[in-house]
Amino acid sequence: MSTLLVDAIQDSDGAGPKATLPASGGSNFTLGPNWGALEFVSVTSISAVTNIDITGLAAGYDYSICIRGAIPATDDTDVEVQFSQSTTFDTGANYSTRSVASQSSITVCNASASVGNAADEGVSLDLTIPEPNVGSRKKFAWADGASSYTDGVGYPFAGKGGAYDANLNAVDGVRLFWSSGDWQAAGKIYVFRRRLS
Amino acid sequence: MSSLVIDTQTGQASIKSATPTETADIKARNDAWLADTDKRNAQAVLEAWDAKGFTRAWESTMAPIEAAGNVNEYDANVLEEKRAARAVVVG
Repeated sequence: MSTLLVDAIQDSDGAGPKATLPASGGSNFTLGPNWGALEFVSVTSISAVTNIDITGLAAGYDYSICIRGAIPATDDTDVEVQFSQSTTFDTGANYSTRSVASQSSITVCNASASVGNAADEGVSLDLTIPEPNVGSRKKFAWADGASSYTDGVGYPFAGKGGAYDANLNAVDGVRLFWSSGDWQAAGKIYVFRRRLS
Repeated sequence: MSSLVIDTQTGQASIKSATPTETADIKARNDAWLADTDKRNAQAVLEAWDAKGFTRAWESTMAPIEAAGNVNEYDANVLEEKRAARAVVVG
């Protein structure tokens, strides 16, 4: 690794503002892939499928999965999450959600005021998966967002989620699906990650 | 049935057909949701009658009247509907 020493940053013609770094008292920092900020991974248009599988989760990162404007094919359904270990998704009753154990997935949106399938309904949410690909620690998932299901009326939600209870092993994928039916070809899914070092 | 697979190592997305096992899981998931929907609808029926005053306490007061064969048609229908809904909720 090389060291770059600068005391100021300015555009090449010298006409723009000049940022001057403190000569002392500043904190050390290391030039890395993302300087500790969220790192963009991918954006994908949601298509008419049953599952959305996000695979290849790396060790040493938190993941943030942002769903924007997704609509279920079946009315009044919930967004659900499952995890994979060694590329195999666990579909067993190994999750706890809504304070209930032994469920087959984690619900990450409103369960009572869930998601409608009309063009002016749907859901947008931010799903957090903290350090999935690490062994020896419990795996969780939760989401904040808003959904609408009755004539386009929106309902916010926060901290909807749960845990994976089968074991503490590393998780390398996350599956998103509706409690029934498919996704409509609507909306986007963005994946970000945050380096834990 | 298919999956949209997003590989975070490459940032690429692809469509994958469901395996027989995944297809079976999806069918089980949909069946469970339908059963749960029936329960939620039945619970809504019970709560609607409760809100109108036809509560469990009201049912208790109706028991001797029903046993004596003196319940009117309207109340008999309410009792029948509540019992059917409760049977779905309790399972």
